[in-house]
Amino acid sequence: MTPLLSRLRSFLSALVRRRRLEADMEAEWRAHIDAHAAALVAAGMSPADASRRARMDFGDPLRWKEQAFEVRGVEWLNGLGADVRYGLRQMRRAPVFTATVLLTLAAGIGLNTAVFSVIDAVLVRSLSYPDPERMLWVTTVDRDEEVVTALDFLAWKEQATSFDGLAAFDTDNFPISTTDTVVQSRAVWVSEDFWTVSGARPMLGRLPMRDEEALVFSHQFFVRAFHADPAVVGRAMTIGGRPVTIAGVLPPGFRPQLTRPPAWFPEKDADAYRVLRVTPPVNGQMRLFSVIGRLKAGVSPHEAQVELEAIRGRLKVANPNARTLPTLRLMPLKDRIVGTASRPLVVLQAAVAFVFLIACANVANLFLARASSRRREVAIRVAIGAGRARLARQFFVESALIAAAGAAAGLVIARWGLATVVRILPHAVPRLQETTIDAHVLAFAAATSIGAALLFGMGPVWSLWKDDARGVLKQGLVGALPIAGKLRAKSALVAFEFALTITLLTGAGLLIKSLWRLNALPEDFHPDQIVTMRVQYSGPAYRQESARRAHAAEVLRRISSAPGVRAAAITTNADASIRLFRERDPFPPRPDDPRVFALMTAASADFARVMGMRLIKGRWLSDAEPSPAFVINETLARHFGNEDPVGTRFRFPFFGQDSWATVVGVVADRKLQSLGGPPDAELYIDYAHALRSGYSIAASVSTEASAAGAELRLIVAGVDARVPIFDVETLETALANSIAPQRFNLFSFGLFAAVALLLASVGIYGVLAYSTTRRTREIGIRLALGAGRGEVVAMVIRQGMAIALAGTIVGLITGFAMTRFMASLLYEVSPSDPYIFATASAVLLLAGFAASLGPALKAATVQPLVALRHE
Amino acid sequence: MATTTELLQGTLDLLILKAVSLRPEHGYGILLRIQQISRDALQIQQGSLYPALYRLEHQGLIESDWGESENKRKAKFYRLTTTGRRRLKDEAAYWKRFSEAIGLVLAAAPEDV
Repeated sequence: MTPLLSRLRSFLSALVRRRRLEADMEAEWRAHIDAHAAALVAAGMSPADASRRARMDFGDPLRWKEQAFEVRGVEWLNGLGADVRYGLRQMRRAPVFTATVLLTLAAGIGLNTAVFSVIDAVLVRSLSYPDPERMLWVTTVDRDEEVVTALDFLAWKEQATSFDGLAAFDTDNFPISTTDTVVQSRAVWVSEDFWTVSGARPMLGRLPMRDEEALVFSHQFFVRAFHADPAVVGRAMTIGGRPVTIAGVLPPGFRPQLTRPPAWFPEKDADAYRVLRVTPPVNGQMRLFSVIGRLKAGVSPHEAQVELEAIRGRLKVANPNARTLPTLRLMPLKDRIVGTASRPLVVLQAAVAFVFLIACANVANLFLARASSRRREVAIRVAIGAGRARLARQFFVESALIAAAGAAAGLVIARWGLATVVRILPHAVPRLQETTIDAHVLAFAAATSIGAALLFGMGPVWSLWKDDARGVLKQGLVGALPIAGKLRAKSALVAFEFALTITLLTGAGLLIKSLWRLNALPEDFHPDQIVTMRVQYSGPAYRQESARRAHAAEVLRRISSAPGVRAAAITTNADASIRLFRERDPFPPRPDDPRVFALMTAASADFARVMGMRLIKGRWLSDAEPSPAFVINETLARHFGNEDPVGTRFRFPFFGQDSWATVVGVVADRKLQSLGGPPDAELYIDYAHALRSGYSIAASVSTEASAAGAELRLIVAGVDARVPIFDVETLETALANSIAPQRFNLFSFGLFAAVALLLASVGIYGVLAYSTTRRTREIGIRLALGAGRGEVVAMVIRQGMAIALAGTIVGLITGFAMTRFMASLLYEVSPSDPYIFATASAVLLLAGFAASLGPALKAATVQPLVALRHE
Repeated sequence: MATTTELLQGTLDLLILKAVSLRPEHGYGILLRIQQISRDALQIQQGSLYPALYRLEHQGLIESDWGESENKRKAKFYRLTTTGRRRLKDEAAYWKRFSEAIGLVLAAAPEDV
């Protein structure tokens, strides 16, 4: 056997069979001692003397044993075990220190891991398509509008060679009826290529064939609406009144993430997919779609863009009157889906990194303080012969243990935190619900904690090499020892924490103010007392507008007269964006004519009352307008300059040749429709002239809202049970959902700021407590020489406030630069709002003061005599 | 104790190798053999023999087996491996040269310097 192998073998066997080896050695040595004793007896010694003498000659077995293990190399590992045990003992002996460090680390690592998980889910893993990097969002653009015409799509589909597949789709709500029920569904029309592009495989049944009137259900919908009954596959149903076959069910994980939803359509997965046939436009009427495509391998998005531009050019030449949108835009699908979600997440990540830095600064401070109180221990151990490397290892093991425990606690916090966030705010960030702690995140937590351990394990180690053991021992036997410059370093660290904290506090303050602005509602408007629900028409019974109008009028009549209802209205909730033409505007428009768009809401007479709208000019709509009537909001009115808009006539329907709607009034802008942005141009039309496939009911009630909701639902169902009624909720809930992202930002930022404030306070408390303990003797002398206790308190507080103030000033300067990055998250608040900065500074200084108070009062209780005996 | 010599570091290994090169020996036997070879000039604490034995075993120079001693007791016997034999030869040659050199130095007459 080679020496190397034999070494390895003996090392391993020593490790594994340590106990057996020990027994082996003892047996061997007993034989040796016995043999020696026997020899001595043979030489004439008495057996008792011989036995004693033999043991003496042999020496201390423990020593030999230790050496025996050492030669086998086990001692190192054995020593590591001892270090771990010693470290654990140290942790138990200083429970306050351990708890503080653990909580600090857990908060830092936990928050970091949680935010990292969200970012990982939303940014890193955001596309569940095969080869996600090849997926493109392909669209044509006109100002804010992003749609593709059938003309463009068909030309691309026929001529483009850059893509493996191009799929058009369109989202809509449809009632799906079986023989005994009607279920509202969010259906997506998808063209043929969608199935290859998305890589979908049905879990049950099959995918729809080309041009087949068939539906494929999502797994969630299959479970929710049909209780996962496999017999559903192959059944005939109707969707929007048309007969269809249920072809199959998709697997639970299939989430094609088609688009970011518009603001008023909460992010929900599609329930059903139906076949979209893209046909050339007939009589200028055509459908508009969204398009996604998968690039062929090796083709760049730029090449695809160039190719599609060329196709569009040829189309224009062949068909000069073709109506398409002016600009072509291709972007990675991932950017499109993540969209504006990435900015808040990056800001959050920065914020949480601040918290982690603060936590690390605190932990470093705690370790520094402890290092100084352990200098004597170290000096003694060095003096009695402990190797420096051995001690360094031990300190490292100690900090690694704490870091590991902190990381574990942090993971628990992260898990809990994520679950909480997902529960409270499921729709705040796209794909938030898919956030889990996975291997990436575990790696991240491990890396941060190991980094932290390396960082603060160094403090005591450093003093090992710097200290002269005898010098330290000469300085006395009790109390903590100062290390030159140590207090200044600690103070600087705490000031740094304050500087970071003020940035977080101002960030949180700005978000609070934004949210407050968002929630600032008219005084007589109580969204918690407004019940809303949606009604959707389907089937041949409501194909005629007169039938819909009759049904709506009856619903309105019954609800308005229901007990407990103050006022009730019908509204279509700004579900259409339309281009407006005044009577005097040239028509049809020339390409360079100004465009005025407005969000249109069909509304009934009491809508203004229910929603607390303020009339500025003219009158509101009535329920019996002889011809179409408009009420416009201030923002829209501004588009038409200073003239009085009342009486202006607009084309209605909007491309109509000779039919008109007249403006009868102007209302103040409302915030409800467009929370989080500047007010939209809005237009209200009397509902009787614009009732299409469905509407919402809004009723202001004086009784308990959820009970009222259930009653009203019954009343509506009483008019015609076949009409689906859904989304019964209070307006408050609906509004809360619409500002969920803002609430998520505030929740996270607020949490981070609170943690930072707490950590910074702990930091200043720690420094002051440390320095006053160190100065006990000095304080005792001052008191003995006649200083008042008040002066001592003031002295300590001054020291604390100096640190806090220095940090705050530095933080205010950097904060002004930092909060600029938050501008896009704010609503009607400037990122350098002076009140917020002032308030945040005040809060921070107050926290610094409160944290200084404890050590200050403690310093004042020093008994001069005791203090002078102290050292 | 005037005749005893502090055990030079490293020499114990050589002595052990020499002792077990004659025939397999148990620990006590090795001790007796060393005392006999060195004519009691080398004095060691008996137990310190063992870490040295284990070290040599760890290095693969000797190997051990449980057997029965001359007075019918269980004992662990050590014997030289091939590597050990080579090492003994090298070490012995080295020591021989070394002691000759020292001897020469000490035997030098004043006129030789």
